Amino acid sequence: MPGGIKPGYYHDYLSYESGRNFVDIEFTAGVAGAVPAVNTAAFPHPGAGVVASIVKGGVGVYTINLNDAWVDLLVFRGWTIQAAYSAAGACHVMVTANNSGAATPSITVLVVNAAGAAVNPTTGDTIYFNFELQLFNAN
Amino acid sequence: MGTGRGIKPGYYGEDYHSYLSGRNDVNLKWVSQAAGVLPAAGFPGSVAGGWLQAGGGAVDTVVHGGVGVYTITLNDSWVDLVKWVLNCKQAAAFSAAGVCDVQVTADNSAVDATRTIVILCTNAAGAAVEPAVNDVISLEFTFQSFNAN
Repeated sequence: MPGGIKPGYYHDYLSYESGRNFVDIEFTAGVAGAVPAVNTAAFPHPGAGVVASIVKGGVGVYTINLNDAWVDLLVFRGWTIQAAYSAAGACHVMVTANNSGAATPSITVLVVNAAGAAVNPTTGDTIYFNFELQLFNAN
Repeated sequence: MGTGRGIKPGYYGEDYHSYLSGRNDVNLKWVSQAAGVLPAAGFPGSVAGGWLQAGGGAVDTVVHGGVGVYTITLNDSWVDLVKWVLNCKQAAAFSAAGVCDVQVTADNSAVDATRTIVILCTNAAGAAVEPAVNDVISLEFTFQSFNAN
């Protein structure tokens, strides 16, 4: 039935039953992109919900560890606000690995400059992650 | 129900679509004049005047500053700017030298005295650039109106 509401993965987006979960994370980077301690003023995410931890890896790399596995990562968006804008600085955030459905669930992201090269945020850069996870699959 | 899957109203709760979530989307769109000049007429008004504003009159003014820089002054402060989607549709054939990206460079939306967001238009290389005549700038900001309990 065209236009009808079909329960499941792609149905009624606004319904409580859609199974979408939205996660917002914002933190102010320390030296070389260091992640601040959870529950500080610089990291206003309680860490007790969907996200277990965020771990800084190599240059520009962050691994977002999740508390639970999900059916899928539907959407990921990331932004930066540089302390002082530079094309050579942290301009964009990209997903490089989606393991949200794995036994040890995680999402890996990479911060890049305007040219697409991996770069660490500098002290005072604000990093934003916004993503949507799907809790259950279609019938 | 596993850990973290409960519905918790508030700042970082997963109940995104609840009225209790406190999210407010603000859309702002304009058709650029030459050298990135803002349209003079119709703000806040209709697309016919070169402007479109939706979101309950959240925006007070937009001022064009240096190359590619626009300062958006809000009517009220917010707990936080949660996310944003900023685009430029180039009027002419796409050019990497034109506006390819629009970035937030300063967020003072939570500061009562200023209530501003500064955005920067850049080309594909990330250098500041002015929108060309008839480039369409489309902005969507999501603000949080209250904090978690």
